[in-house]
Amino acid sequence: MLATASLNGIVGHAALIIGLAASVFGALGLVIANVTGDGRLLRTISNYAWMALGGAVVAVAVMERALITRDFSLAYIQQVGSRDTPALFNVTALWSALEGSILLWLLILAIYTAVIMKRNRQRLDDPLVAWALVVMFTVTAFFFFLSFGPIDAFKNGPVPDFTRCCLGPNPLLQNHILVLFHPPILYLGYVGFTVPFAFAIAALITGRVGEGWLVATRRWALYAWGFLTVGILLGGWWSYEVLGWGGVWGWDPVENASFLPWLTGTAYLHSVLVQERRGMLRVWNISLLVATFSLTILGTFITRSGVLASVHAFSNGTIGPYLLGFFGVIVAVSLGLIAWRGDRLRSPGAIDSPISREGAFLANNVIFTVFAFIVLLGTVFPLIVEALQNRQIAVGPPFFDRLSMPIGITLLFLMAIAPVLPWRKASTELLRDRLFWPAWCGAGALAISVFVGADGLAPLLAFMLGGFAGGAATRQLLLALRRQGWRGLVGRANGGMVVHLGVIIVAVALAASNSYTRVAEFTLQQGKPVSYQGHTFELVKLQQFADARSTGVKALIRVDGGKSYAPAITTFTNFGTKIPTPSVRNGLLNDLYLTLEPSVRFDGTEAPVKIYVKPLIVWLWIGGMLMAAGTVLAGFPGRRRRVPTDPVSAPIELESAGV
Amino acid sequence: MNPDQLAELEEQRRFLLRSITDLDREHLYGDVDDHDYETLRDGYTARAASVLRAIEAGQSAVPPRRRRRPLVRVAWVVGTVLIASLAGWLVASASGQRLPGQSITGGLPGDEVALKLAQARQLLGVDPQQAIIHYQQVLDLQPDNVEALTYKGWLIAQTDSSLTPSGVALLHQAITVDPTYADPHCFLAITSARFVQPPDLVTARSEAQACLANDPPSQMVGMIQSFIDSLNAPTTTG
Repeated sequence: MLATASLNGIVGHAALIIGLAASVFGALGLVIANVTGDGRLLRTISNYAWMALGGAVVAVAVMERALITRDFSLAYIQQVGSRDTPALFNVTALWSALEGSILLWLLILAIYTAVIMKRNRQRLDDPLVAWALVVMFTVTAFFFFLSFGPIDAFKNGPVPDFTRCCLGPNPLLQNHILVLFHPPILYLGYVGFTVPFAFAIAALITGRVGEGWLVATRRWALYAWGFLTVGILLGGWWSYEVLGWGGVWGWDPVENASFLPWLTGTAYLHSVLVQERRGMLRVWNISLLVATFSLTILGTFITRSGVLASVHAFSNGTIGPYLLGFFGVIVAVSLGLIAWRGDRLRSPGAIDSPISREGAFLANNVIFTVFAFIVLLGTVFPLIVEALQNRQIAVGPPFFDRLSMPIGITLLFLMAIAPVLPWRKASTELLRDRLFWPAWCGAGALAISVFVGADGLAPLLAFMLGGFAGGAATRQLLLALRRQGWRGLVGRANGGMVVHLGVIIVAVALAASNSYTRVAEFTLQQGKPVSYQGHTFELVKLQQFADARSTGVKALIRVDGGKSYAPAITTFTNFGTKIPTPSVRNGLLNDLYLTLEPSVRFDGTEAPVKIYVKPLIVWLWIGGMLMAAGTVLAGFPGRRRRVPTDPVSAPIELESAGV
Repeated sequence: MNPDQLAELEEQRRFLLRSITDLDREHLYGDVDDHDYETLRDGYTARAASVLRAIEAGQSAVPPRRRRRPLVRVAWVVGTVLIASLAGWLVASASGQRLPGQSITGGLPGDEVALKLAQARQLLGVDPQQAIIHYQQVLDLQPDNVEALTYKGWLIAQTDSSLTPSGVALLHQAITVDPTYADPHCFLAITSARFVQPPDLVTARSEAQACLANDPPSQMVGMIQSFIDSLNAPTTTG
């Protein structure tokens, strides 16, 4: 028997149907108005974007209200809501399962569509803008349809039986504040790539496949990439702080799903410069955008369709076939359009020399594409084998680790070389001059690494190339700073160098932590300190704790005779699962990462603990912040351009351009 | 020229002229160095002039088809096929049976051990040499893994009589790590009677009893019981 329909359910359904209708009418209206030249219809189109946004906002607000007020008449609240969940995790429960995640996606997509509409409301008669908005409306309509139809986010649940239902979100998602930030920021990145994709499709439809559409999407692609980068790093941080295995990246399918569009998006951000500067790689850039957007949909399919449990289960799931179908449509339509516009997509220029900036960007693109192919292959291979042979297999981390190491090393080398290469062609003298100091930085980094006791070919190579690439990026920044003061930090090239510095720091930190982590298990006893890797660990006491949703025990462990750290084991009573919570002493050189083993006796006097000594972990987060800051700096030129003279949109006189 | 082509050319002109202005400012603010500035400005100017000429002459913006270079194309195709084949071979060789609850890719270090053990178990009766390699990989990750110690010891004890002592040592190590695990007792009993030269029947009997006392898998119980009976049976000669 179903529970009585609540106001939340009714309003939520109404909001979704209004949003769906607005998106469909918006898309159709734009097509009709452009084909018929109906100006009056065109002027009404922006209303549909606002209606769709209103629908998405109301749907999300109502779902949050249902979570906060514990409206257990809704099936979704029965699934992820609980009377015992703290307020913060009650709010974040919105994106802890399928229905809420799709609503969050929908909200961000509706916001982006409304922003694009607002910024271009005077240009709706331009077919490029109109078709881009048709694509945005279509994608929005698809997600409204998913939420309203197959998923039915606001469907009524059965009359709740509180002995079995309403357990709250997965315990791992009510254990750390990062769940508040990681998914929304990741989604801002995923969904952000819809905008450049929409303009790319519009360029193909209208045949205006030159460089004009790139201007409209330049910053959208950059910021979507920035959000995706920060989202992925926050995911790694969450994994480190919550899962208790001492690592940040495990190559699981959810991580791979976010990494794939990041790889193709990164390739695009580099190759689009070649198109802007030299008019080359037009087909390639459009293909990269199509790949990036379709990989976000494929990633959603992989992680949300149930296909991970079994290939054969997805067709019984709620959205698997729809997402796969949508992915198929995107790929088929995009490839069809690219084939149709093949002649116009021919680039007017060609690479003069492989030893040039554009040559380096091309090499960078080849490597990022190979990397994406490898990750995609590793991720879908078990699904293909299961579908064809009915065998359930897994691809372990060694496959990804073995291949990503040489790729990472090659990318570091390219990061060292590319910034000093000029466009078109490089002479030996120029290279010798520009690479002098970066090469010394690389040699210095290698010498310091050996001096402090680092060993192993791969990490030493990573440290040396990190120094080399860091030297090249710093050289570029110093030259710009000397010329322009603090303004030398802004701009695409200089902001890009700040991002490079962040990437190098992350790469070096990963190389160090993967190669030199030390781990040991001890059974600590009160009053008997244990020494390990130059540190002492002493059990002060075991302390039990309990709240409405859990019971647990934490071990207070004094480190180096100073502050105590408290790794814990929490048993979430609703689920009966034991969740380890690590305790970490962060340091610039290394982290001490303590976990309490599940075998601990709650009333015991011994603490079985695992101690990890992990070098340079903090630098992962510092590098990530630098990447985010660099992204912001790289997006600055537009604002700066407006300050001294005319707006970007102002017509440019031939004389002022010197032609 | 049709209006669409003209619109495209005009957009291209707008883009190029704006790019020149942007480039001047980027150069002014130190975002582009002198060398690149000269190169790029020349390039933009040439492209803008070409587009302006095309507009004036009423020509299409489509650039002429470039001469194809078959060797380059073949190199790209061969490179792509090679990379795809290599990646395919690597992913196939790196995959193994998925265990209940295991993710389709990646996983935590503990999962890797479980994966290697599952692969080794599959190979036990099919390819003992490969199974030994997988057990060794487990031991590289977890030197005290009792299952890997036991089965690697059992396999190498049978492989070659010169390696039997090493196998026996591994079985003893497994018993030291976990005396309640029945399997190394069972295997040590059989190895002591069948492979050790001369046979050590005292150890064989005591380990067989220890095996039964530690609740071995059901399919092993009958086998060990028969083995004990065979040890106790009077030897017939001549």
